[in-house]
Amino acid sequence: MPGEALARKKKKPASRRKGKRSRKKASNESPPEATETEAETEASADLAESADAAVANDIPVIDLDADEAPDDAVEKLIAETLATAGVDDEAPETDEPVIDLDASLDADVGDAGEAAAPDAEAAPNEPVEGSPRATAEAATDQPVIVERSAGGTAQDAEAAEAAIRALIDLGPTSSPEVRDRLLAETLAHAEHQDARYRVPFSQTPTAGRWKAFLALVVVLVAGAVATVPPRWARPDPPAQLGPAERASNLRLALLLQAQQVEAFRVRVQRLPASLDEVTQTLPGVRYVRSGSRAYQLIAYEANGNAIVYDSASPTPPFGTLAPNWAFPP
Amino acid sequence: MTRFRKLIRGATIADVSVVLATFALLAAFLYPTWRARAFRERVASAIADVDAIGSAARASRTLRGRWPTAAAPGVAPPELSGLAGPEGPFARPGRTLAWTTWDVIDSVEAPPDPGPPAAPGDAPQETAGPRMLPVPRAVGAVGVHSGEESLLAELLEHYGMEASFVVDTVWLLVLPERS
Repeated sequence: MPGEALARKKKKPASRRKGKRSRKKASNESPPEATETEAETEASADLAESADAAVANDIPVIDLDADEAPDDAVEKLIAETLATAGVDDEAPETDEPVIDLDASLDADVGDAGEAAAPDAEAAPNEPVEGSPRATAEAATDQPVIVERSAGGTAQDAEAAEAAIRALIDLGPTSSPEVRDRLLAETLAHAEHQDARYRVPFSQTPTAGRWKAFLALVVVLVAGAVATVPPRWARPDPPAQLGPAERASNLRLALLLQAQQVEAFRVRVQRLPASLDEVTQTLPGVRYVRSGSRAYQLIAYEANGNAIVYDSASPTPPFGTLAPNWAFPP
Repeated sequence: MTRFRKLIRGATIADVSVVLATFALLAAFLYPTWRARAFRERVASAIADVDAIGSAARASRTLRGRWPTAAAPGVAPPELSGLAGPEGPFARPGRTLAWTTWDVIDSVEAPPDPGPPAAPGDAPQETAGPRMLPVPRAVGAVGVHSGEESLLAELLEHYGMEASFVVDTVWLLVLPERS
């Protein structure tokens, strides 16, 4: 994991920054503090094994528990170790200027480490094959950087640092599955929050009052229109026959029926015994003979009033009728 | 039921009241208008049928010199057989049309009666007015039988009381031409 690795680098002592090998050694020899107890236990076991192996191979072993002063023994051990390390580091030393990568990386460790920390578990600290980081490492641009910083000026150092920053690629810190899972969790959370705090519009007091008022108005308007429809809301009613109009229609009917009786009398020279003898009859008309020369035709209005046509002396209302089919008087 | 519950989920009494009131208002507006429109269509159809029968009868009278013979309600006379059939105007839903002929009395002036010849020396006969004789004539009529009084009243209003009248459940349009 990049972040964790960079954090480890940050904690390394300055004396172990001289070379790559020494850094690796230091990294292996200084376990993280979080696992210090386990490391001590393992170290004790390793020391015991190492001591046994050294005795077996006739390697001189400094016994810190001996009667010598512990401080002297420790100093001797440190000096021996430093001497061994100095031989290892001095061997590949060349004239080429060396840039201390740890110095420029220290500033980036904090930000980059924090940014990459959440994804540290999901992605290993190995550069993904084909990523820019891997490509950069494969290209081995470090000599160029080293050459740039050979002058030792501040600008060159900054340029080198910028180039290193460009080379630092945190790489794909998460897989598509992880991103999808995170996105789904985020959306689900947002939806949950939205549903939790969503209040239906119809249940808000203000909307309820408005709707109740609107309902009342609509109900009142509907009731008014249904009971007493305004002029603009109802069409013209169909024609209806009034009482006077009905009476006039009955008189016209009696007049036409009298024409049938008169026609029968002209043809047969007598009055018909009943309306069955005439060719056409109208419904609701009664015929009454009152002698050999006179007759009455009777019709009733809806209220029971009788309208009578007397052939001997028709009433004046019949004289006012002027249908276009009657002979003009 | 589940679908209905889903539909009304979240609706309050006020919401339902607004919807019901709106529908009631629309019904109150639209139902009378719809009925009036349907009625106007029936009236227009009846007028068209009456005019069709009257025109055909007048054409037959012009052609034959007399009106077509009367027929029972809903039956086309033989002279108007072209109007017969289920698609014809005599039988319609809600009304029945009839073609009838009626007698009317016309008064015509009778020729002067010469009377007995006057003897020499007799006084001259008194001069009397023209003698009028009743003569029956036939007129045609189109009748509409319907229990819908408003339809008959609309027909009466359309054709006027000079030519038509309503009695009982019959409206009768009398065509004044004599034959």
